[in-house]
Amino acid sequence: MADIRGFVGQNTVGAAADGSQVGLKSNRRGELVVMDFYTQMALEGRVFQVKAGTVTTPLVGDVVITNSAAEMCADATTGLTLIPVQFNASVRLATGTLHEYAIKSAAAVSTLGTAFVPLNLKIGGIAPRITARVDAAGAVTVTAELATTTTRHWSHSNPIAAAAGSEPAVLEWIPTAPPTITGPACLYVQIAATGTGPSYYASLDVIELPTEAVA
Amino acid sequence: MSDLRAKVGEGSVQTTADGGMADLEATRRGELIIIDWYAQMAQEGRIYQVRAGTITTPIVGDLLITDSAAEMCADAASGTTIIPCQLNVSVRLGTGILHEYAAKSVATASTAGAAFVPLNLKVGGAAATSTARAATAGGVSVTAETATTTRRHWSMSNPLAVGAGHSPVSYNWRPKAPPVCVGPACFYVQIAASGTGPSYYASFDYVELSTAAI
Repeated sequence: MADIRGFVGQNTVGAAADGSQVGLKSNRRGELVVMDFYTQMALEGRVFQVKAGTVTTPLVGDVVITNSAAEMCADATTGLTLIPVQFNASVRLATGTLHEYAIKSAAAVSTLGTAFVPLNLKIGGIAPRITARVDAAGAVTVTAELATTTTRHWSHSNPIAAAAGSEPAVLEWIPTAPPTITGPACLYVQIAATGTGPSYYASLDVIELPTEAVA
Repeated sequence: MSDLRAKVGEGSVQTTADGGMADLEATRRGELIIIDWYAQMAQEGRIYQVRAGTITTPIVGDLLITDSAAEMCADAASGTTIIPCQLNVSVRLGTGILHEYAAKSVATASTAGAAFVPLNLKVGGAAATSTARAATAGGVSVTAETATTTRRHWSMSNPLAVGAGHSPVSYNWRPKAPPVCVGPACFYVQIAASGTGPSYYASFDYVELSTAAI
């Protein structure tokens, strides 16, 4: 006899209330059923999305990337921590050159740009406490990048305009070890090129937790 | 002696009934054996598939993406929650330009389009409570996208037609934190281009649970 046993529920689904104790679940064979952190955060309604562009209305990015201009960001104030989960961008028109796309974070919140209310990935989930901004042409203002204070998480560059022979690419970032962005702090996305700003759609999913839960 | 002991079952398989207590299993070396939630959901028959196109008959997507037209969707009514976990798209012909493919969700069920009965990934599994649609040329009608209500989960754009020099690409989406579509809700896929609609095969899989369980 083992010291630890799991509760089998192959054809039944538990629905224990918050604060109650629940038998750990195993399958018929005795393998403990585990859930990963990210899926559980989504089920709890703690994952929020910042998105740029809707169908028929993509955003047009910045003309020349600069160190304090971004396209979208999520801000955590003191007491909140955000953890990026997934980023996706698709570039609809890329006639410019010297494309530079990046995701970075810094320990200061953004100061300017059109507010965007982050969407809960759980439909009907709670409202976010983090805030966000989305704006075209680099109109989100973030603290100027410095090698000593700004963390760089992902980037993509392409020196030439899209042309015959270009590869279709899904631009995606799914961090293995995600940055833990403890407020006050800002996670931001830059999308820019030279000549003509890229026309694009993008979305950034982040977990929101109270800092005391990760401190 | 360890304070915590599990049962070694290298050469045998437990078949504990629902409601019973199974001895947790370990390897001969004492490593606890676990199964991830998605694999368990599949074994319980709670993952369903919506697909578009069969061999010899790919689907032809929409001519220009629009904010209320989709190619395929799954709808959860009130009381049901669906959790998309995988999407695959392969484009057979891409002669159009301005390709735009996307997966999104919104808190309203679809309203038109050919019905598709979701396939249980467990052969012999129960029928889905959720419903689905799959249709060519944007024939599935969903609620119009807005920035404030529609979630965007994946997308791919390509301004150019397929030509010499292109490498074959398969599009796969496996969300790290999946959308949790608490019904009423709709998860949908759009595939469109300008000039000529892309010819493609696609499928997406989702977990279905009663909302009370989450």
